[in-house]
Amino acid sequence: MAENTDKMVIDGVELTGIWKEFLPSRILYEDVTTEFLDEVKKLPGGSTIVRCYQCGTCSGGCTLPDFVDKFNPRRFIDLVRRGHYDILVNENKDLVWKCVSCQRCTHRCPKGVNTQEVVRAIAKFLEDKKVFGKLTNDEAFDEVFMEEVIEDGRIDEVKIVKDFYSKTGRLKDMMSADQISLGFKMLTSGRIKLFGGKIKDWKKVSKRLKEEIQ
Amino acid sequence: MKIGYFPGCSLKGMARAYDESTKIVAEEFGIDLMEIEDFNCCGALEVKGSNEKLSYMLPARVMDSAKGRFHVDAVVTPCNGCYHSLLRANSAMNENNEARRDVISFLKDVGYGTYEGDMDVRHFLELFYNEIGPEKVKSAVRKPLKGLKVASYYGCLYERPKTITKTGYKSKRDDSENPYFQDELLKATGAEVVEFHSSASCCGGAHALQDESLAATLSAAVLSSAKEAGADILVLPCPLCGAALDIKQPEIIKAHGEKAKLPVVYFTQLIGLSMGKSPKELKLSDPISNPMDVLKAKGLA
Repeated sequence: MAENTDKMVIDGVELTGIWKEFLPSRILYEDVTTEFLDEVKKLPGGSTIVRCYQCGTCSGGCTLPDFVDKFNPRRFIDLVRRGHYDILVNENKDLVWKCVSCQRCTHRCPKGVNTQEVVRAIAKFLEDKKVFGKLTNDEAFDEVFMEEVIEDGRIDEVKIVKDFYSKTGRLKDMMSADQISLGFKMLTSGRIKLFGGKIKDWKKVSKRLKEEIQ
Repeated sequence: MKIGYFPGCSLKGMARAYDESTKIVAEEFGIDLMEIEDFNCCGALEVKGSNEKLSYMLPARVMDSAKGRFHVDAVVTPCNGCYHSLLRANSAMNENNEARRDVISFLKDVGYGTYEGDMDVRHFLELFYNEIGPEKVKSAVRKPLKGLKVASYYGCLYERPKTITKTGYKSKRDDSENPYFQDELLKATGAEVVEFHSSASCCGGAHALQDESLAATLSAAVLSSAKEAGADILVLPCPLCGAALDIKQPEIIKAHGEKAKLPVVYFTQLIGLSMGKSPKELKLSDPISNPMDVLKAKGLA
């Protein structure tokens, strides 16, 4: 037993009871602002971001790093929590929205962070801040999808593709020879129906949903 | 047990082969599916990312109608996306008081207002495995799929995330890291299931339109790893993966070459074929990736 309790060294490890001396804290001594965290928390799916303890299980199992260099959900969350808005925008804005929602992160998170939805909320946070300078493909698709669901209750695959291409100014891509021959094959085999099924009494539901998103 | 059938939008559109083959297989094995008429879209990923309340209300309306109008004990869907949305709405109704209150008031306004988040939601693959199972399939096979090498692919939302599927808590759910229900059912048809490491990888389908080149890369990785594993055909239980891996396959091949060229079918189509149903009624000519050639070459169609 060492008599001096200020310093007790066993196998080269200092064990004075000042725990942070051998377990460096993850919180850096810096000005932390929770301004951005508070905004992300309020977006759809963003609330569980506060549970994250930065273990990295999400990034370890993530589908994307093999295909998208530097894609790192753990880092996106960390930057939001520490208020590093500039780094988030400058280095990560073209990454965050690339998530393909495979759910491995959410599935494996030991702290119950709904990681996929949190990452989507961070992307939405950046969209709301207008950092992309234009309507992103994700925003455009979400918008046409929401409109179509609320209006008709169901998704018509052809209509949604057409509306999406039109909204993103790429209607001519849809008119390529390959796309037309594919469409023709689907139409003649009956996989595309020109008049989709209608839902009885949807008007009432539609009206109520519109009130909901006001 | 009375089972409500929720096909979802895709099965009423481009994935009609999955809809029709599911009904054929269900009928053959005596599973009585009662279609939830006037169903609406589950909301999918897009509503989930846009408006949280709506993402619970839309699936809840389907289950409210299943309960209030059709009086069923369970709702089954063959779509991974719909399965996820329905289970997710139930979780919210059971774990989040505010969401529960909003949804119930919505249902009272526009629906039957009897639903409280307690519907037993099943995936058709999971239900078929548990209620029928490989043994019964084996004894019902009339035309064994001998010599056909299949890669059994599951996609994402069928087994993930556990917070929603409750995998591991309810024994009926498939193994979330190494799903095997479809493998076992396919083996029972006489097909050879190849060892395939991408069976629960992501096809990128969620971004098939928004981020085409990345989606194609992910899809190509799945298709080529199945082909490398020696598969003649890829089998799956999800219409969204079907759209990404089959309908988009010509574009994928253009970007990534012939290594990504592989026929894609739904598991219900192959089970139906092994029961002696005709390729025509199973709509085996529907896939753009053309499974008929390999099935003919093996003397199966």
